[in-house]
Amino acid sequence: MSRWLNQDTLAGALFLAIGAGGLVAGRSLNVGTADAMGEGYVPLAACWLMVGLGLLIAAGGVRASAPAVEPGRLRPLLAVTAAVLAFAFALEPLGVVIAIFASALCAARAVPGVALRSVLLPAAVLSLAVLAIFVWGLGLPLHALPRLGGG
Amino acid sequence: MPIQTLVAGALPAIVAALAIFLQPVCAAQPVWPSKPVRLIVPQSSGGSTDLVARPLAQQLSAALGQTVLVDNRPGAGSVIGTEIVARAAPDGHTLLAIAASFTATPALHPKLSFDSERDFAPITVLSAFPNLLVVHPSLPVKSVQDLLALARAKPGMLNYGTSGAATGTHMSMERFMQMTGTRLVHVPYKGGAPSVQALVANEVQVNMATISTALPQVRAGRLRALASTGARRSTVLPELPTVAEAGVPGFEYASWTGLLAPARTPRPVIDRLHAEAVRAVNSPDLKALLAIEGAEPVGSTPAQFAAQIRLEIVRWTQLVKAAGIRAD
Amino acid sequence: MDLLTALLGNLAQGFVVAMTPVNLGLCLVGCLLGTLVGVLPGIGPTATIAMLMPITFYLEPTGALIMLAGVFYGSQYGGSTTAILVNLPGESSSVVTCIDGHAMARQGRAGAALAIAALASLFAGTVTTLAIAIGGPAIASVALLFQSPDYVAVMVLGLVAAIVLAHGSLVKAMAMIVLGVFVGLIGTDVTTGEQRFTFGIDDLFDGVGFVPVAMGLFGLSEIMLNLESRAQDGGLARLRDRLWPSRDDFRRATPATVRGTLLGIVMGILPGGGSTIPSFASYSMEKKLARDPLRFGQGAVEGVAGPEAANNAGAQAGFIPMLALGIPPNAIMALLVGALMIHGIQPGPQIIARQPELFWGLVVSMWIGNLMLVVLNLPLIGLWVRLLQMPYRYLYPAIIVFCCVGVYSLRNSMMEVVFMAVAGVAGYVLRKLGCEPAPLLLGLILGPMLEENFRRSLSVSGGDYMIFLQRPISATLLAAAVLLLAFVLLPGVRHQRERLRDD
Repeated sequence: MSRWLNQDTLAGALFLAIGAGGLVAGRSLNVGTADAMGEGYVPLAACWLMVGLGLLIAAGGVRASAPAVEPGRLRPLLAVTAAVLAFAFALEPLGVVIAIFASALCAARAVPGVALRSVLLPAAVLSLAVLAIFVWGLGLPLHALPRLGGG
Repeated sequence: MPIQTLVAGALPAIVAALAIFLQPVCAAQPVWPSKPVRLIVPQSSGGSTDLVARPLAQQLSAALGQTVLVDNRPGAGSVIGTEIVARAAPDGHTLLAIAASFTATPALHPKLSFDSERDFAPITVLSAFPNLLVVHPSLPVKSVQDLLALARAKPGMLNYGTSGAATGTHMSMERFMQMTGTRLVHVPYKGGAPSVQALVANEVQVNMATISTALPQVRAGRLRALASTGARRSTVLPELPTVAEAGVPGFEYASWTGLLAPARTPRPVIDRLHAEAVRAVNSPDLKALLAIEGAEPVGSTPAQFAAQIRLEIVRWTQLVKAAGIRAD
Repeated sequence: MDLLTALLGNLAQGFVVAMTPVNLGLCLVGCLLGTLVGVLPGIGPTATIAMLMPITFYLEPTGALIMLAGVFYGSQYGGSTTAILVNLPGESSSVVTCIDGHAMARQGRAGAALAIAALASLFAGTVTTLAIAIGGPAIASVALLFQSPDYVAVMVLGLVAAIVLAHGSLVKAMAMIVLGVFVGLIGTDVTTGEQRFTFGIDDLFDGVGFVPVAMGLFGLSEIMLNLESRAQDGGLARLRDRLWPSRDDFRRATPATVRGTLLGIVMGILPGGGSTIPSFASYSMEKKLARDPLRFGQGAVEGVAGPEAANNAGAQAGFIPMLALGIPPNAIMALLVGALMIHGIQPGPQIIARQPELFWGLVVSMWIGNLMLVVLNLPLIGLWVRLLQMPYRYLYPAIIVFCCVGVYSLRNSMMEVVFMAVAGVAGYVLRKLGCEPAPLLLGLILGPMLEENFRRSLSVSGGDYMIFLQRPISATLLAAAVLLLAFVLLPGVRHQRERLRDD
């Protein structure tokens, strides 16, 4: 069974799924004609191409020599993603500094056994650096701390 | 223990948050402008609105004693930036500088989340600029009449370029075709510069381009100007007739840049902004700048501007229906 | 002879203008600021130039343009630095530099990679400056010969070149390109104004931005993979004793630099070309010409030198149509046109005759700026390399935060940051499945332009596909693309690739 779950079959299935998903999601788009193409002409053509290439890639996975998928670990994947999302959702309501601390705390979860102290100090340094470069230096319209009630 | 520590730790934070939250209520009604003013330009920087908005922001900053910050929020044919202003607090700290497409938007996007008339307090039209009707020099037409004759002889043969579907250059051509009963094929480009380049490369034969993009090519002999689209002749090409003079009576198209605030912005704030904006556009600096673009300062009153918006919205809605243009 | 005297006279005039203390200072400020924003992920030259525009009111037009131009090419240098050190393409033109530049850094040869990138850029800058001086207006009119079908052909050639870029499976590279094109088409359709695949999300109306996707696909997925595989306390790379490139590096890099420069000049003039397509094209070309293409992706110095030369040459060549025709080929040049118009100068065919001091001053200052950048950056290499010694557990949260701030600042939108997170996960999955991210990015950049010109070509031709073969330029370029594709698919080459994969 696991022989079939190699890089090629999975990548092929992924492209097949994206292509098919695009065809379904874009079924209401107008294709039009060559001299007056609708908005769907090129994107749906791209979806069909992905379906075709996906099948081709998956077919390659039947070979015995198809490369196996290296096992991954969920922890770094989740921690890094969480760090980015934490920043995204904290920035506008809570300001840059809290967003950075939230992000750093999430990022630290990527590896086990990181002491809180070795997260907070770098996060403080990082906050200062970001404020100095982006806010005071480049004058980006970011606020440092929570801004409630204002505009 | 953990809960106690948590509470002990969180308490100062809660107090601080409350203090910040209550601040606007406790503080006395601030004098406008009490903080930097955001001037939203729903267009990327370097565009024609931005070119007016930036020097305007500079002069307003000096006059108001608070920074007026230009904030470019391009996207979805200006809808994204316009929406921000429609939803902003009407306290005079958020303003909108916008191009003439503002009045075409309601016709093109029936599902807008804002009302272009009701949600805004017009302040003034800053500047107005006509377009140029230009053709490739290899086209055997020397006047608007020649062009009409050719277009009528071979309907659907000539292509015209625009800076995008439903932009001013497109709408003015649609109007031109509607009034003259001609049919040219629309070829949209991503912006004015590529559309003028395509005209120079003879990929399309006609364009109603903005003066600033077309003028250098006209001066270099790469394009032939047939007419300007305003009600009066353009100051940069006074020898050139208007489209109306050249045989399409009643045709007039001039793009403009306007300054608006969210609806319900206090009257004194609007009046102050109007006075300062009119002074700014009539300053020698801005006047000179506008002249390069082939534009002229306007400075109409809020009431005149409101009437103009109402009229144009009706006009564009009729045109969009008649021509079957869609952008949504 | 007359031509040479005239050229020397013009350049002399340029030196007089560019060497005034004020203009030298502005050039330095522009280059420094450009390097800074180039090094920082996300925030790019377009935003910086837009922010600097108000300041330029107070400057002489020549000085203003010198400073803004400095920001532009300074950012190209800075972008390469981040690409090499942490695999983050700070600018779209440095995507390709990531591939072999970062591989070199991982081998402890970051110093050599940075030095080669800087020197290749200087060479390209020098040659391009001369090219502008000698043939500016003449070169510029080439752009006027190009119509939509020709652009389609250029882009098809670029996409075929991107297949060559891959060092793994060709079919996967093709699928990644198509996926990139598809992602590039998300958003409001320019022609009809219809929404495509936006699912009602406002932030998608304008399409998926290049920067969040690039940051996620390259930068974030790289961090995830690094955290999976390495000890946290060590640095990213060992330090070798030598910072400077070896004699062998120079021998390999020199011809690549020359070829990259030429490619960059030619492609940089074309609208939409900018500096990204030439860098991809140069990489593919070097890989094709190399006797041992298997080194590419493993730290081949040609893979840094060629694209770096190409992107710098392309960046500067973009000034030619802007100044000589008044037609800006990309968004940055459009901003510079705006900056000139603020000062009452209308760029266009008459600018060289009417404003010689501006034109020649800018040309010479570009060369001075390139020299300054190398002088500034070479001593910095030691510092940058030391950054890689920093324990990774401090480095990666900083990279994440800088990416977030940079991406947010593009449109002041948190959704862009969310898109970056999505791209990060996608990059991780795709890389686990043996799909390389670079072809996807080229597809993303070229997709919208390809569709736009493709539709326009057929609309002008009345639906006749023969238009692509009737125009000499497009027919030639398409023939080149077919040849390249055939060459890539040749059994011999394939065989070699398969062998590499099975190692």
